[in-house]
Amino acid sequence: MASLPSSRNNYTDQQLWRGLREGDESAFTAIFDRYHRTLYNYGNKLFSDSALVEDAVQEVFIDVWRMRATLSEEIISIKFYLYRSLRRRIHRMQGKYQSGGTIEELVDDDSTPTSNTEETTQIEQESRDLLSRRIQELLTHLPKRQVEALTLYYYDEFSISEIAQLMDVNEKSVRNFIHRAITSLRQNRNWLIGSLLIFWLLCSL
Amino acid sequence: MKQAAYVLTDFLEDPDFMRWIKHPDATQDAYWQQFLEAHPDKKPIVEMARQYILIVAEQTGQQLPTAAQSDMMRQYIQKHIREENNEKTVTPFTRTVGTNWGWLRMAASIALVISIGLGTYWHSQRQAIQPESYQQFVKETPAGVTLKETRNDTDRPLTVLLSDGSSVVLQPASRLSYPDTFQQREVYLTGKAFFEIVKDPSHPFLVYTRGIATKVLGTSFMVDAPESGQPIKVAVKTGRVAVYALEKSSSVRQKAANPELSGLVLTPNQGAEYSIDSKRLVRMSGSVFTQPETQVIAKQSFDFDETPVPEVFNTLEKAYGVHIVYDETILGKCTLSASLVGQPFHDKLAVVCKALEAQYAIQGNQVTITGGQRCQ
Repeated sequence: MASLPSSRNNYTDQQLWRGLREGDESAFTAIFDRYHRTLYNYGNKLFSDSALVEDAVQEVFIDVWRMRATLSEEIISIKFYLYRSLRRRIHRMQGKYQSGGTIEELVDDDSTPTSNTEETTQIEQESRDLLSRRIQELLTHLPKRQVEALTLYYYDEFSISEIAQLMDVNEKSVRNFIHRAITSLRQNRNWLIGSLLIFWLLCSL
Repeated sequence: MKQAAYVLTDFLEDPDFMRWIKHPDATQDAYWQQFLEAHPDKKPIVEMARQYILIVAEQTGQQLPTAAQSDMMRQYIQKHIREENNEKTVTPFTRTVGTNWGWLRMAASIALVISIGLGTYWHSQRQAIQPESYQQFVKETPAGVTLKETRNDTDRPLTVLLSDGSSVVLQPASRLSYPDTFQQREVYLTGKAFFEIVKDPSHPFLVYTRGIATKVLGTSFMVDAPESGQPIKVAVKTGRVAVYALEKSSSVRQKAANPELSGLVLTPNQGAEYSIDSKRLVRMSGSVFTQPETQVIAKQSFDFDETPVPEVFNTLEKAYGVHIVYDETILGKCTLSASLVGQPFHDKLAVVCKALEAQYAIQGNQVTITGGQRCQ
């Protein structure tokens, strides 16, 4: 073990990576601490069985440690490396349970974004709470790949080109996923407000 | 952002805008302030977009592990890497196992010993074509065991599959004598070959050449024992071997069974040279696999990362001098991630076929792959 200071919080990815390659277990632990939470979150967008996601995350890190001697010297983003490994692992796992994506998801690839003509400039009075609940609800209905793209873009803050590499599609498809997801969130707004209103009316009767 | 109507989705899909919302700094503040001054009517939309981005980010990040889950994962990983660290010192080479992810893990641990290289250079005694040690080898072969000899008279490598599952890639103008079925794992080599030996600690594997015996447990290594009086080289790729000088007077088997006697145990990245004049083995350093005359298979890492299957097969074909027949319409677009260094040919095929859900059959130098899952 190298004699590096115990606190690794301020180390750059490159420093941690170097430590890992040299077999420094504390650098490895620092990488785990830094990335496993968001990695696990991402895994749950790919696969609905969180116990299997947990296994897959563990295996990804165990593999990183075992392969440390053969890892490339320079790394641009450890996070990207981990996400890609997890995605591949989960997809291999999924291959055992189901084959291929759904038709709906495949159609997404080449279709052009629908132009948003009904965009209004009206001031939306929705409270943050209501909007939050609505988006939460709608996320459960979006195709998996749209949710994946949204997560990688808005939560994990990967670039479009990184997301394209992760998801194994071109950048245009990534933009389509995001655009379609956002359009759905927007378009469903009125419908949802309407149904909430009806629900409220029914309850108050 | 480009000059346009600036609808909500324009803001939501603009990376610069998102970065500003999530991580505002002075430069970006200034830029967007300026933008809003130029387009005061966009203020509500910008505000809305801010809400959307923050909420979508928040809602897509709701599946973080609990502190307890994090601890469990950390402990599980630590337990496994400690175990692996311990295993590694005892058994540098491990056979493929059949558990779901086991082979991947196994492959990963094998990959750690890639590029472990060591070599022994042995200046042999000038002897006749059938050297004394060969006659001794034949003589000491237990009664009832039939010796087989495979000669490679072609100009391409030839793979010999041994009864214990080990494989030997014999180079042109080389020959290997070995029992039909092993009682003791002992072979005799003239020429150059690359060995990938199945691990079996209770049955050490011995390679005899003129002048030296190489004893291994499970490992992969190269032996170059030319018929002429040139030096004999032993180069180990994975694992550990012991090299013994064979003297006329003593039995090779006694020697090999007794590691204290003049044997040289070589560990990763070490080599050794035997000087005929001084009659001793001297350690050397430096990689033995970088020399231009080194066989393809000895240099090959067999480390595949999302490698297209045709390329994997091509690598195996070149390394083992075999022809692999498979249905390209089914497997042509599949990729494979595995590290197969040090494993015998059978084990490599077994791992590849397991990953592809296919079967294999070997007939002569032709391998036929059947079945498998079609890849898109």
